[in-house]
Amino acid sequence: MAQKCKVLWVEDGARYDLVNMAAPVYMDGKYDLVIAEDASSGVDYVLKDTFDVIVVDIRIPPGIDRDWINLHKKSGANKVSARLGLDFLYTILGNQNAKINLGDKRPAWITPTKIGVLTVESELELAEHLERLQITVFYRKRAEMPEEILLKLIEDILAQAKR
Amino acid sequence: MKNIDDKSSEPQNTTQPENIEPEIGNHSAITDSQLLKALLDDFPIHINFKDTNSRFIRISKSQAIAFNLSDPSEAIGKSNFDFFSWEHADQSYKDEQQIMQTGESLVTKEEKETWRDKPDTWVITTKMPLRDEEGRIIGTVGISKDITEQKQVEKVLGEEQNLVHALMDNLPDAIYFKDAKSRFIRINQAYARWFGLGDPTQAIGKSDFDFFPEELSRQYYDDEQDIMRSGQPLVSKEENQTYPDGRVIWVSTTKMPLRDQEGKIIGTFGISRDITAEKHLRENIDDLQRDVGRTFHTLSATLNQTTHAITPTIIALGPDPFMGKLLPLTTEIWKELASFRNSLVSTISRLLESIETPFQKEALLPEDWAELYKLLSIIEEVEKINIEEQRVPVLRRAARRIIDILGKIKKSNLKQELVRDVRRSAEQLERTTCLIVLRQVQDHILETDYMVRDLRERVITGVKKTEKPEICEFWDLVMEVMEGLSEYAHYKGVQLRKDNRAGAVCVCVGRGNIIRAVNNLLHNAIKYSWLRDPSVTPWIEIRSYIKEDQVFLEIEDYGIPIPRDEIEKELIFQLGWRGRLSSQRGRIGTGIGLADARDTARRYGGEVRITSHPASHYSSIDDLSVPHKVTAMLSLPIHKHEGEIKHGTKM
Repeated sequence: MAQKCKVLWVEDGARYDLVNMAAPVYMDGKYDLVIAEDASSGVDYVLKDTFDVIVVDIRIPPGIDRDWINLHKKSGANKVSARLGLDFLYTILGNQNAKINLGDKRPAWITPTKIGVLTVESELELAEHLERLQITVFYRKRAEMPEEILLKLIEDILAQAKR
Repeated sequence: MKNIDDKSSEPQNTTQPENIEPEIGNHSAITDSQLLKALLDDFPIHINFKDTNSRFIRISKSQAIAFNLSDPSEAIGKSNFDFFSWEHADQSYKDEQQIMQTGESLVTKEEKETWRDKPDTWVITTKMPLRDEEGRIIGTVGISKDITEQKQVEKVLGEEQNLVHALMDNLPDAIYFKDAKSRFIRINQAYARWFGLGDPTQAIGKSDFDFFPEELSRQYYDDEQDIMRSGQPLVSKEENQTYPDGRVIWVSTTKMPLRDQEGKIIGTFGISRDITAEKHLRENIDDLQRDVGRTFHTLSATLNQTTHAITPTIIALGPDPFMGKLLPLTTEIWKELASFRNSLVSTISRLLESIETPFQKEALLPEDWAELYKLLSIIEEVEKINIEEQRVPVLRRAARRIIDILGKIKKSNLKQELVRDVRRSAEQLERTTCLIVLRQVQDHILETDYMVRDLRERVITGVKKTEKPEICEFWDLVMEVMEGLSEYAHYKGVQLRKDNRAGAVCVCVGRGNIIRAVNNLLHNAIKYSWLRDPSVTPWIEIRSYIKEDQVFLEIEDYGIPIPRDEIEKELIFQLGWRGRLSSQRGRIGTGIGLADARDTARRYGGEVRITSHPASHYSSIDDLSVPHKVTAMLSLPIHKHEGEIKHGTKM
């Protein structure tokens, strides 16, 4: 049996608001989907495992790690203003603008071509960051988006990685 | 003849006796020089005599004092250049030379004296040529009166006038002064513009009757007469005014009695502000609030209907394993689903194992068999999905897909009882997952409805006049809230325990406001009760007590913790705050309830505080994985009736 593609989805709404979005991914059978509900656990997962795709929401809570909690507090202590998903991306990509650095621990397999963003903000709002991080796959969450949107996003990221 | 010295018989009075003539023209006892000396020594006026070179010949004592001389003789031979600044001395010299050349006097010139060694002074000066007996000009004589103080007063008055002008000319509000007959004494630029006048002076002597309709003018006149009679001002009266150009505006007017320096009322003065835009805005806001309130009401009704519409669907789905229980926890749901899942896995496996012959394989297309194998694998491995809530939609989709595939089976190719078993298992699994989803939806709708009603209350409160405080028995309010939420508590499986230790104390509050505040706190307590352990029935204790003239209400629940920093930083009172444990505390929450409860309590001199401590003494306060005793405390001042003191249990 072909090895499944490992996908990490960093999203705090996966348990409730977006509970139906993961089902098409599981049903597809080609993906091993892992969900991290906050920045701390997202970092834990990338340090422990290797993923073919990472999908990130921008408005995520900090989790239990002290550094992420402090960053969250400094940034307004609410996930809307804090936008920790962006900090998470800067961190895992080892960008010079990262406020939390992984140093030597940062896995080399993480590249912008493996990453996509699925968030409420518009692409225009995040344009400057996306450009800096060299992330090109972006989907915006909308009220009537189809349940298959996450599956589509994963496929787009994989297609991009192959190019 | 009487002895001139004998005064004993003379009447003791001070009037001049009629038979004594005044000694007019008898100068023999007083010389001219004595008269001059008296003038120079005693008059508080600067007098000086100068020669043709403007050097002092003689000066008065007052002048000597101004020159800082101990004796007038010290000035002899000196000139203004010895005392004043060069500029003033020079001008003075020129004036005197001019007088001596022309013989013409310089009369009442207002001069500023600038000194070498002291602040400037102001004088009114008269200078005349000094002539000898032949009429030849031999110098000048000058008299100066110090008017420095007068000038200072004039300066201050001038500055104050400037301020008044600045106010009158630049304020956009209308300012006016009227006499006792309500005729304008003065108006400002703004009011002149309102009247369409080119200049404020054009209003002087006129009255409101010259500008406004009779009815309005009569009202203004009557108001002003009342003010003058009573001495009481008219403050912030809102009036509708029609101006000569037809404009209609709303103004807020304040009028005061105008008094003279003795305090007698001599007229009125007032200020009017154009509030037309503000009034329209207020009306728009009121309309908006009413519309929003109505919309929320409709929304709430719709949500209620939706909830009730779901119920028949839930019933139609057949036996409900969660019937009569509170909304199932994820772990409980999973246990229930696991049995259906295992059953489906088992029946599919048996079906797939029974496929031996090519004839049997033809029952389905190869891709359908492949998908059936894939679905079996998905169902078997569903426990690997780390988020339990996500397993439900996966199983639902898988079950539905299996049912669809079974619909394609050529019946004659396979043992029908095996196919029927798979179908039955898949249908049971699908039905149960749908049931769970519907129950969750129903729960969320109820929560949303509560929020909508809460929002509606807050919006509507803004439309009504501020609720007038009334004296209420505190525990009655609490009981009303408990009765209102008893059904919700029952639905959630939460036990409510009450303990009124405060007794029959009264508070002076807006009844509806406090009911809403307590409702918010109790609703939160029910919503966030600890539902994770089926062996423990969550409870809420509602208790009241008295402490230091305040009545306290504590709503303590056995529930989901609130992180310490969220309490210490008062984040939980921020509108829109969802909290670090929001995923465990439920998706729905806007922070409105707590913020509103605290604002309401404070309005009446009370407070709301929240604490969260582990239910077990062995757990750390920062351990958020264990249930906490979360206490919402509301306090209000006790209303003391006169002559009656309410007693209850004091803490």
